[in-house]
Amino acid sequence: MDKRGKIGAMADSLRRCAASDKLKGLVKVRGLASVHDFILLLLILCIVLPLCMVVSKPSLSDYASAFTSDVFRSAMANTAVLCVLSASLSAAIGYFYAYAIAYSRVPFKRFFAAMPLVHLILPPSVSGLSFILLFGRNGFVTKTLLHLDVSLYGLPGTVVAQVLCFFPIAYVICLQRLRSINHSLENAACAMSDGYARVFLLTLRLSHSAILQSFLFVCVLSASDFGNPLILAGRFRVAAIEIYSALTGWIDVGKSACMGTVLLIPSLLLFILQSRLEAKGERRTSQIGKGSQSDLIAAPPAGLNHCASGFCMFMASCIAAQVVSVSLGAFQNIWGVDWSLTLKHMASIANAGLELRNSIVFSFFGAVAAVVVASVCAYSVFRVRHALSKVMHAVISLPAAVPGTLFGMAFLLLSANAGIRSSRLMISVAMFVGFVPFAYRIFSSRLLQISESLDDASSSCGASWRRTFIRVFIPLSGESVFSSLFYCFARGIGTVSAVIFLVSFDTPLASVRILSLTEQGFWGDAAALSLFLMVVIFLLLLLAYAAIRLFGRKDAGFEKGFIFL
Amino acid sequence: MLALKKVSYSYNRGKKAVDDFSLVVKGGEFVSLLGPSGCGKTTLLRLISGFLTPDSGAVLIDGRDQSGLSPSMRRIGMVFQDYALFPHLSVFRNVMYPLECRKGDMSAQERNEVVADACRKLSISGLAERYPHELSGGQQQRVALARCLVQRPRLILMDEPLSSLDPGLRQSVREELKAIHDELKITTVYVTHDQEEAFCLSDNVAVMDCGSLMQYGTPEEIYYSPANEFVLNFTGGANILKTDGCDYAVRPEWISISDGENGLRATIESVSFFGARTRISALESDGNRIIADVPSVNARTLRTGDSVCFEVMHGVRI
Repeated sequence: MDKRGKIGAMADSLRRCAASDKLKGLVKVRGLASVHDFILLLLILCIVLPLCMVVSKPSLSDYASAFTSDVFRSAMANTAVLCVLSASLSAAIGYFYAYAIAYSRVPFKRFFAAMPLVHLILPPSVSGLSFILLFGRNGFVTKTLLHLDVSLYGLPGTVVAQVLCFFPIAYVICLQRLRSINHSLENAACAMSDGYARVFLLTLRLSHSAILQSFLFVCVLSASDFGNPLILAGRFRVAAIEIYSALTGWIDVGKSACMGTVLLIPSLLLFILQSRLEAKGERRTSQIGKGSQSDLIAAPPAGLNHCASGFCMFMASCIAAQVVSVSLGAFQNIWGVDWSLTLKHMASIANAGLELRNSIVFSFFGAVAAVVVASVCAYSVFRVRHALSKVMHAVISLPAAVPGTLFGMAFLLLSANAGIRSSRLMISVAMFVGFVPFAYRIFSSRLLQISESLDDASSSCGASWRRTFIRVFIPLSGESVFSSLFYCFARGIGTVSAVIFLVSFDTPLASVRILSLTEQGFWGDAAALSLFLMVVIFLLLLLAYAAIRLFGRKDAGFEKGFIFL
Repeated sequence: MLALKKVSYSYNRGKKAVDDFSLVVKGGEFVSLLGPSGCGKTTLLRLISGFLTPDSGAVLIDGRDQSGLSPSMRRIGMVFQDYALFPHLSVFRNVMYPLECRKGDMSAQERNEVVADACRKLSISGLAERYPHELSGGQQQRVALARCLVQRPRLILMDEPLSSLDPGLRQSVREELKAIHDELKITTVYVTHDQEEAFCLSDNVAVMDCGSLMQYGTPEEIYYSPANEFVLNFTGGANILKTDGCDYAVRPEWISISDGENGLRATIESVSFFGARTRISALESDGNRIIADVPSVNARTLRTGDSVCFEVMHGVRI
């Protein structure tokens, strides 16, 4: 059967599934079925089909040789160790940071609350590069300040870089849960005991699933992280790097696909577990009610407030140090050796004009596609409840569980098998696929806040689903549109793992060039390019903020609009 | 005219939310669906509007089966419990919305006139440029009604539209609703769990329980001749008195305090003051409890332990 035949058969089979379902309480909306089918087919083509190609690529002998290979086993073991360490530390730090913001009296709370969110939109290369600039052999902290001759490369460096990268995600998950806790429960605990410890333990008990959820989520991210291990792991080989090396170094597609498939299984399991925990948390929130409007009677002791303030200040300083070191690195002659100021690194940006243009253009198209598809999918899944909604929900959420390197390889196989020669198209599709689950989450969260009776009112006024979508849902989701557009663009412009296999001579990307410059030791040039990307992202952030202020609803806050998870 | 023919519907868990429900609402009638929470009133309303599809049975409007017609094609006006006004549109745009959805029906000028007319009728002309969050509950209610009326619906469905208003405002909006219906005579189905609201607004009331129709009739029929114990209890409850071997249901407000000795003598157990009326609970010598609602002015001197004589003004044989 040719490829078109396979896809057609897949679509027919899905339709048969739908037809056999008893459509209880479902609303039939004319016209949406075709749009829904089209988007589902598009998602299957862009997500499921490439993954199927990877999974079906390795032969049994590939699996046999992989499992008997020391390199493979050590990479898997290293990945597991890295995941557990990074995820444990990120979840713990994220939780205590969120607790400090939600419960204690920290000065400049809005600033500290926003700092981790800033890190979420920085290019991933900033984390690894700044680690080298601060803690490398010529690092500002290790050599200039402490005069140490140490190497933090390997497991410690990768863990630290990943923790700084991923704790903001754990922070967002935990903060959402902590803010949903009804304070009346804690006030009751306070009235029944004389110590704050009991109140804290109750809060911990009510929110412990968020810690577990953060742990699982960061595990998935850590396993699929490519940039940090490539720069910092050194001889501590992890699976994501081995997948890349097997393909680019040994041109061994089978081995690379085999490792990717093996890595995919725990990633998927962790993601499913994480999603179930999240759903359970949402149900619990809906049962015990949203966060109480009443204040928490139990005031945290002064000592706790001081500790929380110090902790927030330290973590915020770490984030600021990353941005500052990369910014300064762009103007130092030779970092750690010659501190004289120079503009030569900034001038080198001119040599990366094509890379920057490509990054901006591809990530823009990827982001626009992600926003359009995510908005229609979210509306279809949560409002129209099409027969195949659950399938659509699963397919669109899938990329969040798949390591980026694996997707990169999947698109490479897709382009090779389907005869697609345009790396521009494949890079845009890779960016679209990589970030569509996040845009989908933003729209889904927004939909849950919009009363369903508005849709019913629109229908009863005679509006078609298209009119309701365009005239009611989109205007009420202004923040979500700009937030997801901005977020997908910001993440797309810095992404490495999903696109590293797809770049070619005429389609180089800034993120890949930064990685290459860092690997080769051209830190100044890498810092200059990273700084340029950061400036672009912050300018866009301002634009998105202005757009939200202009077009967004007055009763929805900026912070709310920019919570990405 | 609306006709429901043996309509049944169950949610995924299998329990029937609406069970073999049949009802005929004549053109221009105001009918209330009255019942406790969870009895299937709103589900029935959603079945009529087309948001849900019946498992069996049919919904007919003006004699035509509505099966397969989406809500947007049924030309039914709806007023929701939370009013469902579009928060990003002004009052004028909210009221204009249904007309914009059916642009082919009239010109822009006609549409403006229709909206202005509806706003005038509901006394919201001065609020045209305001947004929903700038309006009070009563004003939002009027806008929702105006939005519903401009589409000239064949049928209006209202899902507890007064439940979020405070009691004083509810009273005045109720009167306005009645006046508007009397003027326009559009067939209306109104969902409520408030017996008083249903009785004062409706030509007919359908009392529901567990998805089934318990009784359908005029408010007076429901009140004075309840078909069964559920209807009797839901519409205010009653004392069960035995006379000549027959049981009679006597509502508390059908009992008055008698000056003479002819009546039911009992000892007062408790006296609860509700303002205009006072509820008296008393025990007869045989242990039978009597609940009476009497004008407070007649019960000012009564205290617990007093002996009092009750006179029964009306009773229904059950």
